[in-house]
Amino acid sequence: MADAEGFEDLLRAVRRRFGEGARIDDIAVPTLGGSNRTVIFDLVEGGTRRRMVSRQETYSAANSPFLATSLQFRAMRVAFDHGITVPEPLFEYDAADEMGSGFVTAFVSGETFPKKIQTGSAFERVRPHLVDQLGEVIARMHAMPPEVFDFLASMPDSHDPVGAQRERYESYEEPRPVVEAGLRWLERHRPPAGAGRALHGDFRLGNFMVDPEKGVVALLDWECAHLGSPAEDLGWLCTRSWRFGRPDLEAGGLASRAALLNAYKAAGGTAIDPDEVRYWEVFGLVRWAILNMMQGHGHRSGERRGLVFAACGRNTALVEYDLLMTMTGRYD
Amino acid sequence: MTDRLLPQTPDMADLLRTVREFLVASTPKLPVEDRYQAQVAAYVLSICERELAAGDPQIVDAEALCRAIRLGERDGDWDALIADLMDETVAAVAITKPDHLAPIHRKG
Repeated sequence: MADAEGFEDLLRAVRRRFGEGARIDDIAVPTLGGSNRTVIFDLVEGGTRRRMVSRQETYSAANSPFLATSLQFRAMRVAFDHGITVPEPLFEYDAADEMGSGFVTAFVSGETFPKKIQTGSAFERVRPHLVDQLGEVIARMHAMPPEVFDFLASMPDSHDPVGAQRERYESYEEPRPVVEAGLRWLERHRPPAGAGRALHGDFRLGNFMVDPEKGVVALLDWECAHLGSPAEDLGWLCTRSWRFGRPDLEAGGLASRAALLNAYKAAGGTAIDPDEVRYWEVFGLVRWAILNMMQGHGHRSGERRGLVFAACGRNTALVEYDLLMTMTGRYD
Repeated sequence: MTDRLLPQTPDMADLLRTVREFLVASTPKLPVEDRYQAQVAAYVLSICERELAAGDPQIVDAEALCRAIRLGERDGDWDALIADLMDETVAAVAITKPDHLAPIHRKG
């Protein structure tokens, strides 16, 4: 019998849905930090047990670029119903739970830590296949009828991704000429807008659950789902900041950009010009610089102070450097 | 009471370095979940040390420059603009995290 002390709210929420006989067991709280309370637990009903993950939002900035948890849950539900590898969404918290906003999904085991996936000996066998799996899963995602994401059509990112970034940047009231130059470059080099597709929006190493035997088993973190050009998702994966220890391998430090585009096409995706992906990599660097500004702003304004957020603010310059090197063609 | 402040020792750079060295030495002894924060703390102190050594930054009117870029007034001399921004950014990265610079921008 596990000690549910400190998790009475979770037990109550579970019993409201699964009956008074249900209990929770084997509780773990991963130290992910960030703006969520995450609890992993077994739901025990009679002789059956199922491992689940609870995510509660503990902080939400007024100008947050992230989807409300109810919309994240809905996006995951749509993806799950279309056979995309995503942890099964189980239930959402409501007012009667008194747990704020959040939801519970099935637990999927594996590794998300980029360095372990890129270099760990446990992943040697699946590593060469990850790019094919990623190309396939994102091609299937983009093949969903875009109407399934109609509820995300009003998001600024869905109709003007560059404008959405500019708006966030301006809300932090910190003039940064390199970010301005990046935004200006994006405005002047915009590729023709293609048909809007359902995008994951945060498709990058760190958000993939990878199993040493099966490879990619789940796409996590649906906080940025929206509608847009498929090349935007592929460009985010290739953005230099997400290559971690292997900047020479454009696709998430795992394979070349060309290998990703081939895998995407082989899985039924459209043929995408590598230069269009490069455009979205510049966009990705501008976006990542602005996300770092957001963390720094939360710290300076006192909304959410902390060592990591302070460091993020300072790290904006590192992303700006990569942005300039990429815009001038010195980095590819 | 006097406003005069005689130079005190150890100086600020030395104090920062001493605290950082303590943090680095202590990190392995911390519980795993606290190590990341300790590493970030040491990193932040190293930024302070480098910023102190670099001296006072030159004040740039970032707001006016941003407005000009936004309005397209720098489109005509774009390459010169980017070259200036590169110099400033290299200087900022040399303080924040010199290892992040490509070899062509590293000193010494």
